[in-house]
Amino acid sequence: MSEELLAGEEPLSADDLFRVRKKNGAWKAVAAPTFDVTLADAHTHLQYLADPVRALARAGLAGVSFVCTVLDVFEDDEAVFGRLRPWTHQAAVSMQRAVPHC
Amino acid sequence: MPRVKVAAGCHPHNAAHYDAALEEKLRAWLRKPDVVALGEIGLDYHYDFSPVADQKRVFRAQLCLAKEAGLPVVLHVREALADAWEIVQDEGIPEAGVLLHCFTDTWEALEPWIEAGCRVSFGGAITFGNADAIRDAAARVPVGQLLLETDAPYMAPKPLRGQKCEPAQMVFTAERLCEVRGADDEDERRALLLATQGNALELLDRKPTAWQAGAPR
Repeated sequence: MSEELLAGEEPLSADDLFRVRKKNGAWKAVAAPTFDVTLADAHTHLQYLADPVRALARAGLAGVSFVCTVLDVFEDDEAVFGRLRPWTHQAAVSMQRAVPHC
Repeated sequence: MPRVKVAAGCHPHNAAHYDAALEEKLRAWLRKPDVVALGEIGLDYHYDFSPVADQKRVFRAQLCLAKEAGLPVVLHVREALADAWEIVQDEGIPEAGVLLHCFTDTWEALEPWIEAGCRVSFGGAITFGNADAIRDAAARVPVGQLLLETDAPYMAPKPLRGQKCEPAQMVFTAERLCEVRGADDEDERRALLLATQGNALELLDRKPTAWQAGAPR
């Protein structure tokens, strides 16, 4: 994938790169820190993400090994509980496909 | 592949809707096997989406429920730390633990919570330009009480600020924490980040409590 994408909406990255918007509106990849230990995200809201599967896959590629997702009993749908395992399974498959890129 | 656990609760924004029926629903959710904490609960005086009286009532009710269930609590406290501290002291700190999430206040406001053994997690705000007070607090928290988070999709860290946040972005927050804590070489960085990971797992990667295991599903 070209590092410089066309100007427009924030790209939903299918790879493990992070991008920032340049002054001309194009998106450019930025260097990301790497660590030799894994990280734990103690607070997130997977159900509010546009693509939780892709987000979990990208998290895994970035070295995040644990995520605690926070649900609200008034706002959120109980169905989210039933989606967690399919999300993680699909993300694992996605990560395996992304490995050749790394 | 990240392991996923769940915290469930009634946010202070929704406190006005918390009634007996919602509490029963929350009780049912807390019995689900992936649930490891009650949250996010607390007080939010910035938006005041629910009346303060309701927020306090519901905060107290959920603290009691957490203690009954043997679960730690994840707190959302904005511009209300003093009131939140008063309520937590009054109701008693849950034995399973307290996590102040997305901390954006000063060390002075945080100190009593730390002295009481509470944990605190820092997110993308630690990377923001006007966040010296937050970074000062992050530098002073004992390492055994320090966690990291994203609060995705909110609070994307720099250089991604303004975008939708995602868990992967925590690498930028982790890097900034290392700088703030003076973890300069690889061994120090590894030790610090292993500690934040260990603290999160100790609090949140837990087996069902006796209450969760014993309650009818």
